[in-house]
Amino acid sequence: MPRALRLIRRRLLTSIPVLLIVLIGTFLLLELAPGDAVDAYLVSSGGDAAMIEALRTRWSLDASPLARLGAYLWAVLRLDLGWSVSFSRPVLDVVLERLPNTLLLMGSATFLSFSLGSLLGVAAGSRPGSWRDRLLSIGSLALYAVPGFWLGLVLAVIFAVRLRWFPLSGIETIASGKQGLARVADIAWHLALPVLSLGIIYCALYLRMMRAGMAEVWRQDFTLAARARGISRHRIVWRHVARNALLPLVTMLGLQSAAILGGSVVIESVFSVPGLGRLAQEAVSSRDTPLLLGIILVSAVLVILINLAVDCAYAGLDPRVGGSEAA
Amino acid sequence: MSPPLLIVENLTVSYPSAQTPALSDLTLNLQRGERLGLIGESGSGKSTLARAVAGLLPRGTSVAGRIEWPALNRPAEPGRDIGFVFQDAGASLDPVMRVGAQIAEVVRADRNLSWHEANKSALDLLAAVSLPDPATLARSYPHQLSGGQRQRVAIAAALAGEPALLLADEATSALDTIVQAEIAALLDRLVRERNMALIFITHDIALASNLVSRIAVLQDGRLVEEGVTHDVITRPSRPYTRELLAAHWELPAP
Amino acid sequence: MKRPVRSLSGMVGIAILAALVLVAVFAPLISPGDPLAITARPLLPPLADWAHPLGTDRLGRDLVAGLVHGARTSLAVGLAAAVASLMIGSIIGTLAGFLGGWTDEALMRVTDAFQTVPGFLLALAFVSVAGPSLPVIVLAIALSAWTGPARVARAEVLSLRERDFVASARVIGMHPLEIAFREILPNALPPVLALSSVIVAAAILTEAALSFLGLGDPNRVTWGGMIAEGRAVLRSAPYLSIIPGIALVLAVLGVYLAGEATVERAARRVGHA
Repeated sequence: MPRALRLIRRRLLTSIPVLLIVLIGTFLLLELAPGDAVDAYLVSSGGDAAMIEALRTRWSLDASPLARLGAYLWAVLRLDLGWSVSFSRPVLDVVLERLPNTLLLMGSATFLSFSLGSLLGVAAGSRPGSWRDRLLSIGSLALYAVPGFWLGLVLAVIFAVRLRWFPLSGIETIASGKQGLARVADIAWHLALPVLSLGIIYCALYLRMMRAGMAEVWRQDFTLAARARGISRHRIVWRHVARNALLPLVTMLGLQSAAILGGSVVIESVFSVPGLGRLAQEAVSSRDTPLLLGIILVSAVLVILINLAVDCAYAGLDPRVGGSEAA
Repeated sequence: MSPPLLIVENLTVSYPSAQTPALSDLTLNLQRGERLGLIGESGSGKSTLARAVAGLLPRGTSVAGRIEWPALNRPAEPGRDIGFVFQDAGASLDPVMRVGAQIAEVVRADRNLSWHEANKSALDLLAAVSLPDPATLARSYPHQLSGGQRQRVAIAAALAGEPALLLADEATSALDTIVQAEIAALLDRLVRERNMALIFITHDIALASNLVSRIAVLQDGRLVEEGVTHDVITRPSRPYTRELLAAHWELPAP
Repeated sequence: MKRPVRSLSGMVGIAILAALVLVAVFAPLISPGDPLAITARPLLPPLADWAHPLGTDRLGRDLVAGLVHGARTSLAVGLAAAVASLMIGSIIGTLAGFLGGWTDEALMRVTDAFQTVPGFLLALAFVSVAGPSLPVIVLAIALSAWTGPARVARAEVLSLRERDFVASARVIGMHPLEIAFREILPNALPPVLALSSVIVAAAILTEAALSFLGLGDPNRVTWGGMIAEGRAVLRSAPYLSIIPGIALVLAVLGVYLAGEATVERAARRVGHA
């Protein structure tokens, strides 16, 4: 598939300067933060004055800012994101340990919001101007105004505190010794409320986009042509209008990945899900700046990778992308 | 004499936002297998008439008068009884669906065939509109084809329901002169072979005169002249028709 | 058919927003004194005492006072962050679009970088490093919100760059930067300003989330902080978290609806002209 390969290469090439800028940004924030890495290291490990000097030299902390930036970039290139004070472990290890939980939460919430949002969007957009359409449009706008963490708390009050259908916090029952499917079910049961709180809000976004996209596609000639050819309304709605309107939503999936990652920070805090977001909050409260910046860096790489995947999916869905040379 | 295919009687059509009706009190009929040219400037109501006949007027349009299909004994169904060819073939095809599938989907909808049979029929239709290598072409997307190829695909889709009437609304206007002549020749052959009636809508009276046996001239939503092609061209009774003819002859020869 | 419902929702939005602004402006009159002061017995439920119609929190602070003064913080942060991000965005977008070439390329990569880092994480890190105070929070929110206006401004400037009035400004020998900011930017502003309601709404939500995580200005009442405060007694007194959340939803909804109505009216005016 040379078309997809070309796309991947282009995206990767533009990602290099972007990542470099992100790195410079995190370096600046690190410089801005009170104390340096050695102070942080000493808090957790202890050491004498001679060791401090040795460490400062080894980590190039006594060098010029530019040399320090160089050293920082070189370290990141070797996958050394620094030392976490609060965990007394390398930042990358801590971050990678928490990453799967966040990916699970994000992935499920994205799946929920995308599928439910686009389906409701088809329901609204198949007959523009109908009561169903107006009700869904106004409802989605109201939903869009709801802060995710508050929705999480309300759902927790109703379903965890009052009805006791779902657990209030955590990602799985501690020390339950569950294996296989039982463990998967347990995790799903724990993640239901966080996924719902995160997913429902973005659902409104996809609904509104799908609706607007369908209205746009209805105005194009080929929907009239399909009617003229005797294609059923049902098939026109699903196979032509919804199919074409779906394309911008797929692009949005990539653009929204950064936002949904940010959103999961608060949701993880509400439900004590041990993921990246909860880790970020822990890093803030223990003033563990290297850890916080490590999380930002990993998130940026994650967002770039997600966009890459979305680009490939888009190329598969829209034959017009990057295909001009092949035709 | 067998009943006419189509009777349009006292048809008046008004769009909700317009001051004057797009068509007023128009009466017209068409025999099975007959070829009618519908001539007029843009805004004369040609396309409105085509859409009214095909049942494609937008919702909220007010329609008075009768459109009847005596030869069918029932209201006409789009696709199955009327094949519609639009001006902009590129826009009339779904950009993200392979052209073979777009034709097969019409075959399936109008003739209740299985996907397998519909796909085979789509290949036959692509061959019928003189497209080379139908098997390869069926797998391409609209943007990969030339304007003339797209219009052939759109014609194939219009034929897929085996309609009794082919309605070509400015079907050749967006193409360059050579391709225009090819498409006109294709329509001529298809209508003859398949024994269809044709309504050929155009502002180009010369192009129509080679294709149709009868010409109706529209001006401001009214039928101002109607007659056998030869008579209308050689002895136009209305100044408007003379202007349309003159406008054509004054053009430098290509 | 569509217009009455649309304008009705627009009116509702403007009404909510107007009420909110009035409450925020006259907060010291509506609820005199320090909203953080202890005024009654703790955990007084709503509707039990008419002096404290919505009850009190764990420390005995009046909920109505908190809501009224919290409106000030929310609106102030929302507006200031929107103004800041619109300013940063239009300046960067104008420079990128007008200068083109390498400047454009570099500025757009910077924009990409800011869109790649989750905005909320960036705000979190910035506030955590610089310390929570109102200006820092405003800046932190603007830091992630300027990219949208920048892209719109750039696109608009690109389309305006070749117009006649720009050419004539060049002919009379205006300085390029003067052309960019005095001739082009004012004309590029309308579509950028159309983003403002969305940015204000997002800024209010981000401020609330920061306060919820304990990174709000500690000397001010915030709705997000009130929700976090109520969390400790979520089982026994859920109203403490739910009521400020409703205020938040209403505020954001008001901004959205009013913004949509304004944009629509502007579009209609352009359509008639």
